[in-house]
Amino acid sequence: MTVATGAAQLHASAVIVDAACPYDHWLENVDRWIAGGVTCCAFTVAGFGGARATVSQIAATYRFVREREPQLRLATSVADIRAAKAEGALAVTLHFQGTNPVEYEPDLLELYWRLGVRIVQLAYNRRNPLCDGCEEPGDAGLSLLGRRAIAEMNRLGILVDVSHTGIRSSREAIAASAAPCVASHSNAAAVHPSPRNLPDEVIRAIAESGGVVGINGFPSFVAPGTRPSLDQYIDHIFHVAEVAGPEHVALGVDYWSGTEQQYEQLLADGTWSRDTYGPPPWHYPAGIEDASTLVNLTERLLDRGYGEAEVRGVLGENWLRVYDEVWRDIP
Amino acid sequence: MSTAEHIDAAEHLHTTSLVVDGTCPIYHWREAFATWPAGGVDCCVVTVVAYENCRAALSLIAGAYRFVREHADEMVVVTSVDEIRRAREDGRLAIVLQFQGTHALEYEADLVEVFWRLGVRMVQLAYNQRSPVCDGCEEPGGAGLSRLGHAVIGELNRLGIVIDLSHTGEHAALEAIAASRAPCVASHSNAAAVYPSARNISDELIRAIADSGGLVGINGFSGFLGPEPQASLDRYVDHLAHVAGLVGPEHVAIGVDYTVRNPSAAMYEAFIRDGLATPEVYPRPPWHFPSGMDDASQLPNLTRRLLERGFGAAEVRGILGENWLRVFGDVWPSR
Repeated sequence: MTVATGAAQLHASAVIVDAACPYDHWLENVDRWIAGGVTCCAFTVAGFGGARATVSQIAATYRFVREREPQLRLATSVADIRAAKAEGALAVTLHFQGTNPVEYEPDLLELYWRLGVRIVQLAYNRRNPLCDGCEEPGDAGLSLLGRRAIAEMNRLGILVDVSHTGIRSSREAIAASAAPCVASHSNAAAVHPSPRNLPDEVIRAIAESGGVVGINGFPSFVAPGTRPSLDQYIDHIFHVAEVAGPEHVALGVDYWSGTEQQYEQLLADGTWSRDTYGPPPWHYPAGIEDASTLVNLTERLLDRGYGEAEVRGVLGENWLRVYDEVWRDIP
Repeated sequence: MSTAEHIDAAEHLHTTSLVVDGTCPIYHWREAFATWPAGGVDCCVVTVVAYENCRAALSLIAGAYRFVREHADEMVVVTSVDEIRRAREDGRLAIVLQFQGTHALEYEADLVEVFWRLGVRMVQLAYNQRSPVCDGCEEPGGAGLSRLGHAVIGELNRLGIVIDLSHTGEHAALEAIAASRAPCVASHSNAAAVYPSARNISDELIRAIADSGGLVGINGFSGFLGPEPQASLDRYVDHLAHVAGLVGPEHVAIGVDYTVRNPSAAMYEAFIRDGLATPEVYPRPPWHFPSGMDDASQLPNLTRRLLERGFGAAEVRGILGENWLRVFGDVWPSR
């Protein structure tokens, strides 16, 4: 596929943010994001483990970034991300998928903030002491601890993320939060039904909070079958843009390549369900199978009539607007 | 000079000096923190973690940040000398976070950066016992630095964290000084030549610390000062004067280590039973600090006694705090 010059230029000049880059896959394949012109990866440094395991993963991430400086740099502000763009570096911002690292101590959130964590997803599919995940049938809302944790995240300027979170919990979290909330990597249930996708009501609530929905490329969440097209991925972008406005949609592609064994383990643990997560191998949308080819998304968005400003928004500027509004240097 | 003028001169010197207490165990300090500013102290090196593991250390640090936040008008966590001077101008107590031990690192030198990012700026290598890093001062084997210990020192140097050799074995301490590119300190240790104790340090180690550019903070725990249940103020000054005479007054400071006076018998016995200390070195409670500086609010008496014993005003300013600031200024800026 040859990319039109206009698309290539737009892609090269844009700030591009991938808001969901899971742990091992990203560490092993970081060069693909660099090759794809990405400016900032929200790296899922932790989420499943407790506090002890989490700090080791964070420590290992500092080492990983340090050994790749100046090509990689940690980012805790929009200024850091724009500086990375100017220097041709890849900015790495730390993201939790889940609140297991908080255990029962919301005071630990300040430690994670001091360690550079700026985005925290409230749950991962299952119930935790704060709230329910999206695969939990009880659909419990926020607990008292959950409310304290959100207040602490608001105080510190940590972005509240409701991907993988139950519908009721998401609604209650958005209502409880004094700051914009996001779904870092979630699609539209109206386009393709899945417990992992969001009803229009939640998409609107996120937009009304000032937040963003990052569109996910994991095949089971995009379309029926196992090989979604690029247009089917873009259909989710357009749906959110239509329901909530183009300033409220962005990218959280969630590239991951687990083995059959990892898949069976996630099912056995109850972390995933077979109904929601298809088996590997997983084919990300044709044309953007991995992050190195993301320029094809820019081209196709332009081909489908998306304006240049809207494309810049979806590629990264919409994330930066939310980050800038929520993140702070001093608690 | 009349006696009244002499006292006035001491008061003036104390009030106009920047005073640093180089070791304040947090469990006692939280209860009594107001006694430090009452005694003219501007900066407390607070032991937020000692022999706790990593997980426990996280909760202790989180609790310390909550405590400081809840007393934000009175105190602030600092990581630079500028911040210490600014805190004094603002009338707030500057808090330096210190570890007494490397237990919280477990077997991961990479965790040093995590704790550095959490604000820790002084780390003692051992606490009386052997650790994976090196031996403590009560350990008979006298093992030096392990491979992990060398890696930890490399990280402490890279990040700019003060290496603290109190409670550390002599052999390990000498190896640490040799391995370190930055000044090392004994934040709260006394002179074995004045009073022998496994917790006190040899003249050889005092010289090595001074040669590194570091300092020795004199400890007020009576069990390390002399044979009396409660040491005199002069006995405290004897240790200070010994270090000053041996290596110069720019290499001695205070690290009084004010702690609980009457821990329960069960707490003391558990401390001994768990091997954290021996009864030969740590007498049974009640514990006392020197008469005349029994708590931090009485520290102006130390300044007066130092002048009476012939220390010059500039030397006293160094001992009270400027020597600590010199070491902080040399070590903390990093990368």
